[in-house]
Amino acid sequence: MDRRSFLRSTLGLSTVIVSSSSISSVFHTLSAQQRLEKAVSPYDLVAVRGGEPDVMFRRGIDALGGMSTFVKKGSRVVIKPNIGWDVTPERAANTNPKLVGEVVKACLEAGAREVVVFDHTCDQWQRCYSNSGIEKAVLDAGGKLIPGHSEGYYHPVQVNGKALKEAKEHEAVLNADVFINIPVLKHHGSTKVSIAMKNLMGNVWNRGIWHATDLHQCIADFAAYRKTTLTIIDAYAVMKRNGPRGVSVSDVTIMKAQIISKDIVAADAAAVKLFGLEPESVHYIRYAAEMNVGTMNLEKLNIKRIAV
Amino acid sequence: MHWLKVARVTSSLFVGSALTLVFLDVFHAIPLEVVTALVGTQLGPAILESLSNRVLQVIVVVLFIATLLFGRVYCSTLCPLGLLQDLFGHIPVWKDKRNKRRYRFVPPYFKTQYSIFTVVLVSAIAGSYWLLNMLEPYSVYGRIIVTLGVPTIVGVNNVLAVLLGTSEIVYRHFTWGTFGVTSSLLVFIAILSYTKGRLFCNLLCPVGTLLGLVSRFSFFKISIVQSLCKDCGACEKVCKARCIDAREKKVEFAACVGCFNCIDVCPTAGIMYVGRKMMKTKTTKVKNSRRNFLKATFLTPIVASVATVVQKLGAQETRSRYFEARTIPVTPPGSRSVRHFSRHCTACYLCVEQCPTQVLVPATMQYGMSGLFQPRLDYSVSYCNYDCTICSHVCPTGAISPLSVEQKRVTQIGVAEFIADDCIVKVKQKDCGACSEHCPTKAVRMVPYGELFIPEMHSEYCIGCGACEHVCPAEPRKAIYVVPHSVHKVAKEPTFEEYREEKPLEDFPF
Repeated sequence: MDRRSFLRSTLGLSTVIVSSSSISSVFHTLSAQQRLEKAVSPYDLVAVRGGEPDVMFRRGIDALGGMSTFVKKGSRVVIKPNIGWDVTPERAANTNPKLVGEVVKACLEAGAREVVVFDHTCDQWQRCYSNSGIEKAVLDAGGKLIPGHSEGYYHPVQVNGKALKEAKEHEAVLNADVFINIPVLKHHGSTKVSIAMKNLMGNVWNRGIWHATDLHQCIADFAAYRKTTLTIIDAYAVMKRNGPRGVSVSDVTIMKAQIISKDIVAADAAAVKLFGLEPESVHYIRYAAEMNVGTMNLEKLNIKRIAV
Repeated sequence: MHWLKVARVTSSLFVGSALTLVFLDVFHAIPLEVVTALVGTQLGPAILESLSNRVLQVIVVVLFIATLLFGRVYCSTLCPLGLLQDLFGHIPVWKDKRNKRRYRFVPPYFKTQYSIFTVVLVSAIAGSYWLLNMLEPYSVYGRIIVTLGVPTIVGVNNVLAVLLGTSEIVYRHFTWGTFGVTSSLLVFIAILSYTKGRLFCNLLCPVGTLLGLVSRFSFFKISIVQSLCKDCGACEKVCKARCIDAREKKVEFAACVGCFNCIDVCPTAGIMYVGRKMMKTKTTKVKNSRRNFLKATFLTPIVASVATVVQKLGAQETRSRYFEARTIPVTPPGSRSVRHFSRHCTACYLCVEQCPTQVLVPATMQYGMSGLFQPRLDYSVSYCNYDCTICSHVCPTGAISPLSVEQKRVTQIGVAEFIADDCIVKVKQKDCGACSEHCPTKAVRMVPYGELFIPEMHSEYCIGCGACEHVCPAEPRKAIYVVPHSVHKVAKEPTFEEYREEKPLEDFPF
């Protein structure tokens, strides 16, 4: 037995001892928590269909053990919807405001100290926040909407990916205990679809360099770096062409679906199938799966399917 | 205080501070209707716009009637630059303990004033606005506030934002050219008004000169009433237009800016408005001599030709293909053509201040000398919002005509040109598509290119908003850029076959 395998086995053994016994109260709560999660939610991914965005979310999150499984009392939550474009909610270029509002509410109910929502928008930020309907939804739900339009809010982080070595990420995410990604599923002109991993582009300041180096690889690199507590994909209204901005409401199909998972790659893989594509046909999903960010093979997952 | 002076000071402070707030409104909190109403009081832009706008025709007529009745009251009640000069006039006099500023009568420089006015007028009619823009008081004031005041406000806000955790303002339209010229102009006006009262108004200001000409025929004029005057000379000492000759008991009414300081200070009501028939003192008649006329007509072509030469010099940019395409500036939607815009804009920067994306920036030499400092769209700074028509609604001079959102969406101010040889997709063989992402009309579409997607132009839908150019990450040359139209065109409305459907998911595909 060499030193490495000795260490590994000792570590493994001690973990087993720690989790099974209740020597210290601290460890006790931790193991209880773990058992609770395991007991309440055996699912890797929840797919919901047939309801309004807020209703589908409630049903879905309940199947995963409720919001308190992910949001502990007193934690600081950052929610990142897609608010990239200065268009109305019907255009489905941004995340459904009803869903965003409901997630904010659920986080606060779970005892979050504060719930902060932001995006580094493409169009003029105030117009995006307001015309997307998300500003009102967040404020009504008791959340806080913060700006992301100035480089001063972003701080350097080491991504150390294959193509993306460093980035500047929004300070709200860097200071948060819980990071929830709520993208909208939609068509994209060059990456075929924009879903959860693509939505993380709104976390950073300097996106141009992603486009200029290797867009797909940078998306996968950043998804590997950014740990996400929960991914909730809005597929209520889905832009099927002219994405990611769209030209008119005629680009949109009302699909009434939603995907929730802790695994961002699995979530993207499931959503892309709703869109009508295979996960491996989208380069960044394949790259991320190859980098073991998550799994894109849906057959390996325990999926809960809910029809509202 | 005499009620006339109270009214004058009140009006001046109200209009001046309201206009200042409009120009400082970095949060865009003041409703557009209020902005247009306030700016509507300004005579300079109103005259320029009055050819096409009924409301402004009325305003111009009203202001002229007011001048025909009471003289240049405009200069002291509605003109923001007049207020600014008065403020400088209130700065305590250097090394004078009693802080008494005493003006003395100076015979008006009518010859010089009218010569300057003629040159400004002729060059404006000939198509060069830069002299007018340098001197038109409302625009000068707007420029001062936007180029000097707004950065200050932004700075203060951003310090507070750090302390209080509120939103920062990103300020993008700073140019050294406008900053330098505007601050020089401010210093010049400050010194002039500190030492010589309202000399700017009676020497350089085209609006003041025009109103002065009208006020020669005013029905009521401020005059010294011989029988009541006690020869104390108080009126002359407070006359910032320096148009009261107390010794001769004469008032040069064409130079009077209607501040009523004299009426207020007179102990006996010996100086007051007097109807034409009651007038006892004659105002001196000044002949606009033939020599001056000749001087002006001789000077104008020289100014104009210099302007054209400089204009051509300014237009020469030969750094790369990207810049070669930009031989003319991009003018805002609603401005119809570069020519129309350049011939109506007085560079007041109201649009620059109101533009939510800050894509409107003061040009330096892009319009050549004739349109010095008029605003242009700078896509290196930002791009024009698809649904926004604010600049067209706030413009007081008609340089940008009002557009509905529907009209704006098809107003083609230029057309994007795509150079595949510079594109990331072709050069690096990697997906990019930033241009198409941002295109609001899908004039730029991504089409299959092997395993990848590459942009394809559908120019008929392009409105020249510059979103594609702004975000294109290609270096050193943008692979997509807007070639401006000298005369704006109408783009095709982006229609796609109806697709929207209610198609709730029947079953999960996994």
